Amino acid sequence: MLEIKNLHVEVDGKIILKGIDMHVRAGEVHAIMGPNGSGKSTLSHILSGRPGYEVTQGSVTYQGKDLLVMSAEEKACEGIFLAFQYPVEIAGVNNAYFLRESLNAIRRYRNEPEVDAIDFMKLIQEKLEIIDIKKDLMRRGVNEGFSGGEKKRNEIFQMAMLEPALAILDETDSGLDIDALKAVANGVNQLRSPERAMIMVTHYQRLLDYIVPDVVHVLADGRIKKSGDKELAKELEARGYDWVSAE
Amino acid sequence: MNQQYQQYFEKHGLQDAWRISAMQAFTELGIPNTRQEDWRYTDFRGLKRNVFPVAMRKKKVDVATLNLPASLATRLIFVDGSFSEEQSDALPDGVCILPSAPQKDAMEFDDGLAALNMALCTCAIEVSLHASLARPLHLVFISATENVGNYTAVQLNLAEGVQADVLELHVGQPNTRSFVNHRTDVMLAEKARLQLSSLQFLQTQSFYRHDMRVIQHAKSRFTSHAVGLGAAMARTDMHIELVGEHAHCTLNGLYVTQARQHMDYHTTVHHRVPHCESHEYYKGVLMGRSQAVFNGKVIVYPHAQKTEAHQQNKNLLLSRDAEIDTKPELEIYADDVKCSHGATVGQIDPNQLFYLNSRGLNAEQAHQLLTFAFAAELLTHMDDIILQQYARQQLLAILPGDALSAELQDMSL
Repeated sequence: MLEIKNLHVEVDGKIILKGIDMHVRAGEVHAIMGPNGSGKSTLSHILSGRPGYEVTQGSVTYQGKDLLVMSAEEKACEGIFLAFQYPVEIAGVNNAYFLRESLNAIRRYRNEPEVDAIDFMKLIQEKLEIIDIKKDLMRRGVNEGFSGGEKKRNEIFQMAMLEPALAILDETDSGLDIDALKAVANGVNQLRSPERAMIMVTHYQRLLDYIVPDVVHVLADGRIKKSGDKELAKELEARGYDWVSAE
Repeated sequence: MNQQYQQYFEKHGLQDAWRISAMQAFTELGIPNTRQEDWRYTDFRGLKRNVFPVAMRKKKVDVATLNLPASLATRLIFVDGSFSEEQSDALPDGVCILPSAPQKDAMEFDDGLAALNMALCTCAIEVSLHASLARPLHLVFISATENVGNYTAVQLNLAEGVQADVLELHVGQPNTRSFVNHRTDVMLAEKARLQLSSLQFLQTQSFYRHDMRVIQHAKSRFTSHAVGLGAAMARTDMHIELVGEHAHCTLNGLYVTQARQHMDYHTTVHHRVPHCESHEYYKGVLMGRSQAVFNGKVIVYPHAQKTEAHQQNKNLLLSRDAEIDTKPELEIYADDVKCSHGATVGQIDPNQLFYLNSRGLNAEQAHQLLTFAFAAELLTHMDDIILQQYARQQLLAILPGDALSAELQDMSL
């Protein structure tokens, strides 16, 4: 589904990624771990299309298409979803409206009929079964005044609504207490499917206790230093990132 | 031009002594010009080129076509500055319509337009309440005839503990250039509460002047929602006098200007006694070659200790050619007070933009949605959901572009 080859990325002339290779198949969950400043967030931003990054070398192919030429909205319409580390607040527009605009923008792109208000509310009801999130948050401004946990739940709720083929979870565990973490993880696990791939970017192993990855990559100094199965994450937790960097 | 008003005045036999002295005051003061400090940025030049007389005959307006806020309110309709009784609900107790300005003892005018309002006012709504209104009161002023002046006044006197929700709505018939010169006087006795929405949705060729004076006694609450979306040139003045302790006022405002529109808000809050609070929150969206002025003055008098006064003005500047002049003015003569103010001028936030793009919305949709959201956030402070929805609908209608669906007007969805 996703093929990253020799990816080099610069931000403001500073080299952040120095040759990333990664292959993600449908149905797989990959975890990207690494110390602060290793380039984890840059990788998730490149995949989702945040402006301000310059690819100097390499390629990213998603479902056979060149991902690097797509705009952020094209990526979204092609089925890529980024769960933000810091979800943005937009007061004045309610969450439900925003989600419906989003869903319909994606459906229009795919030449599918738009969802009307009634079907949309049914869909919300259905997805509320998956994610434990207060229903009245749908009527509030987008993320407006939400707690940290509510914002992260809302990201996963959006993911459930938009049903992406590839989901990128950027530090989804950061700032969550254990109950919120479990609720978010539970939602993510329910969204795992043979057709869907996920990339989890995280600093801590903690999240991986709840969402068990198929592959773990260790990113340090702009390169993938090591890849392995879920045991690698445990080893990292025990021995620290210095161990990988030193090897 | 002043002579033309004078001639018109004599022709129609407006002979009352107070009218004559108001007219004299207008002749002396004239239409405000930019040499006056308070009018530096706002030149009502267009008003000098045209005379806007009071309508001579009653025009019939089909109210049903106007898409007014659907509500359980008592609705009173005014067409071209005169009361349209047959299209209005019955007057509630305490409400009467007068043929002249109610405040005619005051003969000192801050500017010529205020004097002109009194000289020519032929319709005033006096609301003297000794009991709370069961339903909101909607005063709908319709400008229906080209080149006609609407010289109207509203007086709201709320007795002790009385509560009321009042709307003053100014709308225009399509392609009608008019001049609205409106005055609102509010007197709140102890513990009285008033929510006053002043919505200006006139046609974009029109002129609008709103002069609002509020006196608040102890423990009274005043909330103003001033929304300006229309008119070529609009000027609002608000003077809030906090004369009784523990009085609170909240002034919310939204202005959206485009093309060559010009809107000017001058607010002054006088904290004359201790323990009062004022909260002011104004937002603006500026497009095209438009210009807006926000001048928020707060005066904390000596002895007005424990005053709390907060003011915020946020602007979204969407064009290089648009201009915002924002000026907070705090004059504080007491030492134990909490006062703050802040003014911002910014563009669309790239983080918000990326968030929307990453959810599939293209640049156009995202810009429109964020522009709408910026303005609509101010409207979420309106407690009256029907009015809020009406204002959202008007906002959506005047913002450029059509990438957003109509359901956006509905915040409750």
